[in-house]
Amino acid sequence: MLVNLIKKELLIELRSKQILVSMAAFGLSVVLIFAFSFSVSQKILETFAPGLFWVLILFTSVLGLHRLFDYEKEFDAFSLVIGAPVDRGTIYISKWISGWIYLVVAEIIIIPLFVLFLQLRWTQPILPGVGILFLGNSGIMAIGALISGLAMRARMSEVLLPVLLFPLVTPVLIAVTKATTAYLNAQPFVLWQFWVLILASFTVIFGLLGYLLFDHVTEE
Amino acid sequence: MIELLNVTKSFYHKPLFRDLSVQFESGNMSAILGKNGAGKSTLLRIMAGLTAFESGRINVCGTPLKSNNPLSRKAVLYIGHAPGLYPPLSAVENLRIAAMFYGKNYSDSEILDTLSQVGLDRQPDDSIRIYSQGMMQRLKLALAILIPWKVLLFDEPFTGLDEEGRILTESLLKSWQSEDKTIILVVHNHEWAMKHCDHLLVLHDKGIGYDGKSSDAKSENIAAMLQGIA
Repeated sequence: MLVNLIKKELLIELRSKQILVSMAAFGLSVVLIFAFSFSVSQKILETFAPGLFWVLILFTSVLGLHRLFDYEKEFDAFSLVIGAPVDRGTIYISKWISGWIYLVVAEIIIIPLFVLFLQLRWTQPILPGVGILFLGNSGIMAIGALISGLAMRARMSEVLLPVLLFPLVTPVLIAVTKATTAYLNAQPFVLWQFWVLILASFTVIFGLLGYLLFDHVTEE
Repeated sequence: MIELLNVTKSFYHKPLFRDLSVQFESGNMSAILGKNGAGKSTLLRIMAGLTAFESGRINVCGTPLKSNNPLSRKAVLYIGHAPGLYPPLSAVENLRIAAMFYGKNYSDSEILDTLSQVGLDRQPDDSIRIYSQGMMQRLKLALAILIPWKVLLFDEPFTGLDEEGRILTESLLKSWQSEDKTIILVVHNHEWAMKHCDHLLVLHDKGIGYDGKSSDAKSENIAAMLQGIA
C-alpha cells in the first residue's frame, strides 16, 4: 500500500506541478538574493554558507510541506484516503517519503546554483555530503509531514505550519549545519559523528511519532 | 449491518447529539433526516470513521470501528457531499486510485465500462476539475460500483443531478439493496425517503425524533419535526 500511496502523491504532482515548481522557484530566488545582497569576503561567506544553505532548504521545504496536505483539502479528497481501509500511519510515511523526494529534486536544482552564485569551493568527496543531505532532508520532512498534517485542518494552516515547525526542527537544523560545516572543512568524521547521531535520532524519533500518532492527527 | 451504541458527539462543548443508539440492517435502505445543523452529515462521517466521537461504540458488520484498525473500515464506503476525489486527476485515474485503496486493481477498459454505465464516457481523461456537480455525482456512483462495500454512506445522493441521473441513482440504489447491502442516505426530501427507504432516522432536538420503518411513520409528524414545530 505504501508504494501505491507514494505513486498517488507523485502522479498528482506530475499533473499539478504545484509543489516542485514553487519550491524550485523560491529556492532560486533566494539564491539570487543571497548572491547579490552579500558584500562580504569569500572567507566569511564560506563560513556562513552551511547555515545559509540549510535555512534556505528549510524555507523551501515549508512551501512543499504546506502543499503536501493542502491539496487533500480541495474537494475533501482526504476523506477518500482516511475512510479507506488503509493504515493511517502508512499515509504519514507516504507523505514523508514523497516530501523527501520533492526536496531532493528541488535541491538538485538549487545546490549547483548555490555553489555557483556564491562562488563556493567544494573540494570534498561527494558521498559524505550526500549522506548529510539525505539525513537533513529526512529529519526536516519527518517533522514537517507530521506538523503539516496537524496544521491541515486549521483555518490559517499556512501560518500555523512554520510557527509549529521551526521550533521543533531547530535541533535538526543545528545538527545538520554543524555536520555540513565540519564536512566542508574536511574535519575527521570522529569529530562530527555526534551531530550525525543527533540527526539520525531526531529522524527516527519523529518518524515513529508520526507513524504512531497519525490516526489521531487525521481524525476531525 | 451497522450498529451505534450510545454515541455522543459535541462541537466546542455544545452537544450535537447525546447517547444515540440505532441499528441499520443489511438489505435495508435507510434515510437520515433532520433540520440543517441536526448532525446528519456528521453522523455519516462518524460512521465512516472520519470524525471522532466522545463516547459510545460503533460496530460495522460485527467489527468495532476504530481509527487505528483499517480493517474496521473495509466494509464501508463513504461518499460525502464534497466530491472526495483529486481534482488534478482524470476520472479514470481517480477511480483507479480509489479502487487501489480498497485492494482492487482495475484495467482501463473496466473503468471505462463503469464510466459509460453512469454516462461519463465522453471525457474520461480530462481533469475532474472541469466537471459539473451532476457529473461529479455520477462519478461518485461509478466509485460505488467499482469499490467492494457492504455499507454505503451516501450524503445527498441526488444533488445536482438531472432527471436521467436521478433515475440512474435510484435504480443503482435499488439493485444494491437487493444484494443485501446496507445503504444509509442523508436526504432532505422526507416524502422521497418515506416512499423509497425501508428505515427512517430523524435527528431531532439533540437525539432521535423517529427511528423505525418508513411504512410506520406519519408524514405530517416527520414534516413537523423537520420544520422544528414538533
